[in-house]
Amino acid sequence: MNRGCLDEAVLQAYIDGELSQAETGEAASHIAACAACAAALATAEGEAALFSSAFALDDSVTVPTEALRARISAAVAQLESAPETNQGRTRGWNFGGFFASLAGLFDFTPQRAAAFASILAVVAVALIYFAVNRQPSKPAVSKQDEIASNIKNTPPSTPTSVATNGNETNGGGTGEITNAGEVGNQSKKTAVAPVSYHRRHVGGSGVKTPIDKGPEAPKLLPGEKDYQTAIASLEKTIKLGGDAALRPAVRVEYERNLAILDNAIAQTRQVAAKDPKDKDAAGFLMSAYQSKVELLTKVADQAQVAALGR
Amino acid sequence: MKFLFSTILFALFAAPLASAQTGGHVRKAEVQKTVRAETEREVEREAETAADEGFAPEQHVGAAADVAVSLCVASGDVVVRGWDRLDVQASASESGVVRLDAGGGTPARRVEVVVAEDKDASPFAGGCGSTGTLELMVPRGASVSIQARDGHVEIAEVADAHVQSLSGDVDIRRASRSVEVSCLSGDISVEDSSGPVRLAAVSGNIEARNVRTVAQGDNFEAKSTSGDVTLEGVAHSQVSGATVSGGVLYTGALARGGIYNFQTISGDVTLELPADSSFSVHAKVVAGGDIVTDFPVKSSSVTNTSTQTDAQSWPMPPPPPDGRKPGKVKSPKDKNGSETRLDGTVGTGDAVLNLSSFNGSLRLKRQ
Repeated sequence: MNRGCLDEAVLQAYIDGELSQAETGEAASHIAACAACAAALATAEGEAALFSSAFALDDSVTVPTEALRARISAAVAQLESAPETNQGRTRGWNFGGFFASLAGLFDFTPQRAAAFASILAVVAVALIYFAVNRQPSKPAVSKQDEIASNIKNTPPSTPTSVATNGNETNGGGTGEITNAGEVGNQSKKTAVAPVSYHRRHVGGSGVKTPIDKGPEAPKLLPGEKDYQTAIASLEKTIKLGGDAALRPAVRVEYERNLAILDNAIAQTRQVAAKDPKDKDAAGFLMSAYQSKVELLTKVADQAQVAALGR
Repeated sequence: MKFLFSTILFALFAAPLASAQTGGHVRKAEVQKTVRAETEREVEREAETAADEGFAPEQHVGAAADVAVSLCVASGDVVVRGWDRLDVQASASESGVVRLDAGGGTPARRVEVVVAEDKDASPFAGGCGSTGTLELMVPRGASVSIQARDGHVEIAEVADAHVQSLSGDVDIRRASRSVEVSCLSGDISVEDSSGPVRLAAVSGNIEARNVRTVAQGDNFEAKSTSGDVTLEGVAHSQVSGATVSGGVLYTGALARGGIYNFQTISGDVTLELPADSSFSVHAKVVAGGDIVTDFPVKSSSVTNTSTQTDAQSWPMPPPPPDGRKPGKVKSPKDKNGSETRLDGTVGTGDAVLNLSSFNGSLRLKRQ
C-alpha cells in the first residue's frame, strides 16, 4: 500500500457505511484519486460480498465442513482473546479496561499526535468562542412555537374502532395486510376490509373514519400469507445463488414452470376470492402455492450449493 | 487554568472512545482475514487428501447384502445394476476417477462413492464431482441414493432406489423395496418395481408401469407441474396423481378397497378401466371442463354432468345434453353454474375414485 493510502480498517468502515459523512466524503475523494486504494476497495468489497452471501446460507448444507467451521470458530475465538491478554485487561470493574485503553494514549504515533492536536485545537477554539460570546441566553424558540412544532411533527394518530363483539379488529397502523378470511372465521359479526393505515368497520355500529385512498392491497385468503412469506424467502436464496445455480436450459424450464404456476395461482385465486367460502377453489389455490414452494425449494437447494462453490 | 483542565478532561474521555471505534474496524478486518485463511487452508487440505487417497478409474469393496450406497454427481451419467456378488464396484468410463469410502467395517454396510474428473479436481468430502459415465455394481439388496445435477440416471435390480436429479432422465427398473425420485428437468420412468413409490417431476413426464406393493399401506404418489403422469398397472391400494398443467392417465384395474386420488389444475384426468370395474366416484370440476363417463353411474348427485354409454374415440366430442343418467341433480354451487360435480357408484363400489380439476376435464373410459 502506498504512503498516504487508506488503511484496511478505514476501507472496511467505508464499505460498511460506518464512517461519518465528512469521513466518507474524504475517503471517497481519496479513492477517486488513488488507484491503489480503488483496487484495495474493490478487493475488500468482493470479500465482503463473498462472506455475507456465504454465511447467510443455511447451515444444513454440508459444505463447508463442520471441521472447517470448528477451525474458524477456534481461530476467531483466539483472535478475540488475544487483545485482552495483550492489554492486560482485568475481569470485574471496567475501570481496568478504561485505564488500559488510556495507556495506549501515551504510545505516540504521528497519526495519534495529529489527532490529539486536532482535538485540542477544536476544543480551544470552542472554549474561546463561548468565553467571548457569553451572554444571558434567550430562548431560541418560544414555548408556544415549540408546542406548535411538536403538534406539526407528530404523526396523525391511528383512529381505533371498537368491535361490536368486543374483539379488536386486525390490521392497523403498521400497514399490515388484513386477512379478511381469517377474521371472518374468527368472528362472523366483524368484517374487516383491508386498509392502508386506518382501521375501519364495515357493517359495525362503530363510527366510520375516513381512510386514505391509497392503492388498495389485495385481500389475502387464509393461509396465503404464509405461502407468500415462504416464497419470498426462497426467492431471496435463489437470487443469492446467482445465474450459476442452473444451466441455461434448466433455467428456461424453471422459469417456464414458474410462469405456469403463477398463472395457476392467479386463476384459482380469482375464483377463490370471488367466493371465499368455496373450499374447492381455495384448495386448488393452496395446491398451486404448494407446487410453487416445492419448485422454489428444489432450485434454492441448488442455489445454495452454487453459492458455496463460487 | 479552567481551559486547560477542560481540555485534558475532554481528551481523557474522547480518546478511548475513538480508539475503541478504530479497534472495532481493525477487529472485523482481522476476523475476515482469519476466515479467509482458514477456508483456503481447508481447500488445500481436502485437495491433498483426495489426491493421496485411492482415486482410480475402477474400485471395488466388499459389502453387506443390504449395503447403503450413496453418490453425488455434478455432471455425468450414472448406471447402477444389482448383482449377486457381495461387492460394490464402481468404474468410471470415458474419463474420470472414483473412490469408495466404506468408512471402516468389513463387509461395508455403507459406501460413499466419490467421483472426480481427475485426482486433482476431486471434490470436497461429501461434495459432488463430475465424471463421464459411472457404472456401479451393487448387491441386489442394496439401498442406492443418488444426487445428480446434470446427467441421466439408470438404476436396475436393487432394493431401494432414491434419486434427486436436477437435469436428466431417471429410469428405475426392478426395484424391489421402494422408489423415490425427484426431478426438475427430465422424465421419470419406473417399471416392474415394488414397494412405496414417490415420484415428483417439474417439467418432465412421469411414467410408471407394473408396480406392486410389498407391504400393506404402501402408497403410490406421482406429481408433476407441467409434465404428464401416465400410470399403467399400478397395484397399490392408495394411488395419487397430481399435475398443474399436465394430464393424468391411469390405465388398468382398480384394487378392491383401493383409494385413487387424481387432481389437476388445468390438465385433463383420464381413467381407462376394465368394463367390469366396480367403484364409487366423486368427481368435480371447479371452473371449467367436463366430466365424461362411459360407465353407467348410479348418481347420488350430478351437476352439469354428461354420461356416454359407448366408448368414444379420442378426443371425445362434447356429450349430448340429453345423455345424462337419471339421478338427483344438485343445483350449481357457483352462481354462474360453472362447477360440475358427479357423485355416484358403478357396480358395488369396491374402490373409491376422487377426481378433481380446476379447469380441465375428467373422463372415465371403458377399456
